[in-house]
Amino acid sequence: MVETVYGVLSAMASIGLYGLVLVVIGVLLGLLVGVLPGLTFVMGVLLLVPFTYSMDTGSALTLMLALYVAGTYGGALTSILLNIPGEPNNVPLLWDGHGMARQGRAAEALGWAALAALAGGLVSWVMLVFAAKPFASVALQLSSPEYFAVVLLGLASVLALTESSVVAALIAMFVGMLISTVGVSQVTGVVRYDFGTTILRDGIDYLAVMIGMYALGEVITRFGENFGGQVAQQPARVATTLPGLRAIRDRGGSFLRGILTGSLIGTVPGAGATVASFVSYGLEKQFGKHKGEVGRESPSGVVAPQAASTATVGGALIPLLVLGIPGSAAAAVLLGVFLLHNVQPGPQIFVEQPDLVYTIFGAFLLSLILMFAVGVLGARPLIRVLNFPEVYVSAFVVLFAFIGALALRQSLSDVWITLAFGVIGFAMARSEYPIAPLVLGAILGPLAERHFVTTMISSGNDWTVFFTRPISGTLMVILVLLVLLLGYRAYKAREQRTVEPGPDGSR
Amino acid sequence: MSKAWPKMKNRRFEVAVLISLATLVLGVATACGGGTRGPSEGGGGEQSNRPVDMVVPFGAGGGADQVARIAAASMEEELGTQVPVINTPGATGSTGMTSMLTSPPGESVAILIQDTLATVPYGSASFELDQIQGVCRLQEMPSALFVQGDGPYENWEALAAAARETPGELKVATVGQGSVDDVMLAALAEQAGIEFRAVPFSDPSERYAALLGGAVDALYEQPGDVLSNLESGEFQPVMVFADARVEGLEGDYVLGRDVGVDLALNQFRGIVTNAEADSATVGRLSDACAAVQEDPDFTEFQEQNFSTPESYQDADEFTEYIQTQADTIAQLQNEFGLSGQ
Repeated sequence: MVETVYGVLSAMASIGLYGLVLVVIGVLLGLLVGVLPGLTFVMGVLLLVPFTYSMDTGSALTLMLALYVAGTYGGALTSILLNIPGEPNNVPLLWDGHGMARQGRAAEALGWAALAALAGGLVSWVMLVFAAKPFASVALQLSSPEYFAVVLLGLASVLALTESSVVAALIAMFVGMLISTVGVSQVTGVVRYDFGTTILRDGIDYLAVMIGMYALGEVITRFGENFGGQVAQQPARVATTLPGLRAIRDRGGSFLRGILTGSLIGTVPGAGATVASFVSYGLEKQFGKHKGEVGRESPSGVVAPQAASTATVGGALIPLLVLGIPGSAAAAVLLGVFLLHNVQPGPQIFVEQPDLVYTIFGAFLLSLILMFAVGVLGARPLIRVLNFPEVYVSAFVVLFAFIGALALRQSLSDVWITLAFGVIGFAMARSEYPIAPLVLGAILGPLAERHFVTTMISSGNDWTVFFTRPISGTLMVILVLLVLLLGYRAYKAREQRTVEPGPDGSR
Repeated sequence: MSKAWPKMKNRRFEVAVLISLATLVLGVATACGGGTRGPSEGGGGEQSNRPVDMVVPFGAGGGADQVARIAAASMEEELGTQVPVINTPGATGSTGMTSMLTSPPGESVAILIQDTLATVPYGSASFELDQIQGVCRLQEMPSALFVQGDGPYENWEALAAAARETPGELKVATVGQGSVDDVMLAALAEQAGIEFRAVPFSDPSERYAALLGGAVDALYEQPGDVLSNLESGEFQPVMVFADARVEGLEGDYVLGRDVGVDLALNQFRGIVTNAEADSATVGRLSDACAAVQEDPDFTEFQEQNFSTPESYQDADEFTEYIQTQADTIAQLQNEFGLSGQ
């Protein structure tokens, strides 16, 4: 342990100017891809690969890790300020984060997000450095039934998200899941709902749904309102406002839940930052100290998902380094870089190449600190975006959305699909159907399906395995209790409303 | 409004910031995009310097991705034009194939692997075989069954004995239903009387985690893809579907023919292009591809992947190979009742 600390410190001390420059470039690029919807940090890491051919292994990994770390956070800025999720894992930040921005508390929301990213990253870093091995062995015990249970928990957060009608939310979620089945099934190879067209046979990417619904749909809605002729919110003279110590202590539970969820889900190969972000938001809404305000401009609704997102980085690196199995898609790219440089990650790497391991640990830590600094300082010019008349901002939103859609697979079909979902999003907003559950269904639907089908094949169509395996059984019991609790709450709320209709009982 | 726009100077500054940001973004997007451009003017007949897209129909980090990146770098030099690598994952490679086919013929190539080819006879492919032609085959390697290094099964005999005791109960992680993996497991059941249950995990890391964590008893994979797990002793091969022992692959394993399986559908990775591309263009691409073999990076990569010495095929050989291979797979899928639609 002492040796590890010493190793990491000396790796950081000897990083040199070149290494520092790489970290800076990586973090800036990470923030950039994070900000752009459609260009995910996974693609960002991937696009760097050719540039790392000529580098040594340590430098290559430093650069890519910096991008990966910052990429989980960059999208928070646009989610909060512009209501565009730069990454799928930033979707939960729209609800409370952008709500805060609309109230003129953008600086505060950004501060919470930056702090949550830092805290999530730091704790997962500590786990990576000191507890990698036990963590990895636990993660390996999980298999499809557990993944399925975790994804169900994520889907159940829909019930928590709904402000208005539970039925409408469920309908939207199931439509989202249905949309995600279009194309070729990953497991069975069966073609579904393509109606003979190539566009549909290639599947509907959830990113296209997300970008269309949130970015374009919002712009169309605002366009219909003539943009109100006003700037989005009050002039923002302030930069990022970091919360005070007392406020942090007050939200300690949110930090803790987010970080734990993120680190745990990060270690599991079947789920990444997006699932972690949704699950932790759902937990926050259910069990948080401030659960009442989550969903309406609550810092807890910003902290938990952001902390979880960034915490998945450390989590995903654990199985990568310890077992040679990537815990996330971005970690899979890192594995490719290891192999290109003829380094085999796995238990032996700690013995054979300790310096490389320490370099990775050091680069991760430096990236976190730099990401935080840039996030806090860089937010000042970014907040000024809100001072622009919305017409101009919207033009950029549309541009970003189309670039993002095209970047998905370099295919114009995705641009058309995105556009179609923009219109659908607008129509849904007009008829007061919630958009979030549909996007959630589209993102988590394929995961749920894949893990469910795999479990059923594996068990010989015995559905009881979901309940007889200890971990998935526990998760399922939590899920059932959660659904019952939510149902009870909804029922009670309704009863109250019928007994004494409030002044705003129409909602 | 007026409050938000206090000074003209400030406003100009902000516009400048936004414009520069947008330029930066566009710059990055164009640099990354690579594949986005208008239709070809010349029709691709004469020698052109237009970039040739290399479509990888799978995600990052996998074997197909690695072979594409090494080949693209070396082909760039040969062709004297850019060869940007584009990942277009989806539908076991079908999505990437259709995206390659929508580009002007000759300006886009794609990596074809056994698993993608198998979707054509299976009925789930979104392209037809006569739409593509081979440019070159770069790799061919045998597949194997692996078990945990220190798990319950010491060798093939132990695994086979357990499988005979409970037919169809022992699980083998595969890439997907109707895949070549499934065909080989069906052949094992048919010809050797040893029946496993194929459990599909389309994501490689989940497939390997399944064996490591004991969710499955064995794994069907190419040795090069699990090299790190082999070196660390976490995995060991127990049966290799090949005619002879694989050079460089250590361990106590049997060969397919030792247990009565006379079939070996080797994994392959090659480059294909649109069937409409003219022969001059295909010839240039094929020559450039042949040069990849001289690349020392590639040689090393071949060793890591346990590729057979007969890996390389030129355009004509590969085109013919694709057709025969597809016919064989179709016949086997029929024989073993694995047809999809």
